[in-house]
Amino acid sequence: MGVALDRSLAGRKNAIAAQAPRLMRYACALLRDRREAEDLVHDCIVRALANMASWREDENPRKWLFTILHNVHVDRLRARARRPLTTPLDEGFEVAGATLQSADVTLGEIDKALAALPLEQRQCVLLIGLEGMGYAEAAAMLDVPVGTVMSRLSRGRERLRVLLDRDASRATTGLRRIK
Amino acid sequence: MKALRPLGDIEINALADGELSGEAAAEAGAALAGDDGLRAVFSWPQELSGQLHLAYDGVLAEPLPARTARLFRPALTFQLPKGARRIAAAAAIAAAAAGAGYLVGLQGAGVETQGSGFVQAALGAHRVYASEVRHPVEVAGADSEHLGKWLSKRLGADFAVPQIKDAGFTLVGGRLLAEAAKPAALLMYEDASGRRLTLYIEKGNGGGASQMRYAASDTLGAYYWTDGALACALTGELDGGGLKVVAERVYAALDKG
Repeated sequence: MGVALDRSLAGRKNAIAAQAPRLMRYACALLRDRREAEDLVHDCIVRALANMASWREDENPRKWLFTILHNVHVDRLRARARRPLTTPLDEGFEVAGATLQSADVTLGEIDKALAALPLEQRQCVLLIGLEGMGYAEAAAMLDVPVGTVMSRLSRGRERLRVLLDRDASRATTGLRRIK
Repeated sequence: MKALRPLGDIEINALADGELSGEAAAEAGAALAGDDGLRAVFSWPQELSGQLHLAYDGVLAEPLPARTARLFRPALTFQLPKGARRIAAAAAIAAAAAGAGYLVGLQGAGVETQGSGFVQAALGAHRVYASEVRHPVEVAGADSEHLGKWLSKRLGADFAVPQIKDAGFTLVGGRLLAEAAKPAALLMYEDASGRRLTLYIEKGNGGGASQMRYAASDTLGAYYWTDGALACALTGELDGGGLKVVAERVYAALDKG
């Protein structure tokens, strides 16, 4: 019995390792700061390895891991909000705005455009447009209703379209439509 | 007037993402036909997706940062007999109880009994040879008596090759190294799952015996000591207390031999 458990744990460990590059890709696009992305994925994998038993047999490893990544990210944002600004524990954990400014210089057009989106819209645009998730999977991962994902996605994509100057005239049409 | 609300971006995005079916999909498709604005909304997700992949897919091919990759390595575990397990537990408790002082005491004692390069050499030799698949050793461990005699002669210090089978590690063999123009011996041990430990031995500098010290570098840990005649370092992957237990066994075996 012990051996069977070990083998299944080893299998889970392999599944986590297999997803790690995708977690990193998503984290890089979401945070646009390499070091923060690496910290986030590291913490996510630490938590995943410690909680392998909570992974249900029938649960898709990607959904399980991206949910952990999301939860770790939320925890980190909360911790950062609590941390007094006068005593930075680690220079890498800068206030989001400060990191973005320095990153802007070297990052490409799409990075800058993503930076302009609220986090919630960026999550939806990336989970669906980069990670290829369905609406239901993204909604479960973010713990919001599917309708919320749909409206965040739609607004985020439209904002990017305007920022990236694709058919900018449509922006005014869009505004008229909402009325 | 909800019923008259025209189809919006949300529905068109859902159509583009393949999330609509049946009547809803047909309705959205029909709305597209007469509206250039909606067609632009419809084609954008695919273009955006292409740009996102172009910008970020490079990350997929990159190796994970070392500290993250390390999380997936198997921890070194030992199948020890009951008595030894008690010793391991005691060692772990002692280490935990001593806390930071323990580490400072080991690493910052300032009394280097052997050149400071000694542990570095041991760690380096482990890195180079423990990962060697085809030729990990120069002389196989089958004739450990001969191996011990040969290496003793070359080092100019007598020792018998220690056996640590009862800790789950069998002797793979050994090799002679040239470390800073001095001969050194490297013995290699392996457990059933292929995990390797190396014992690095140099002739001692004739000083007094030292206590066992500990050094770590990256994922490797080394316990090292000298009894005056020999200076030894046992190196392996870091783990709870197993490496120290094996180091104590090696120490005891060398002492007897």
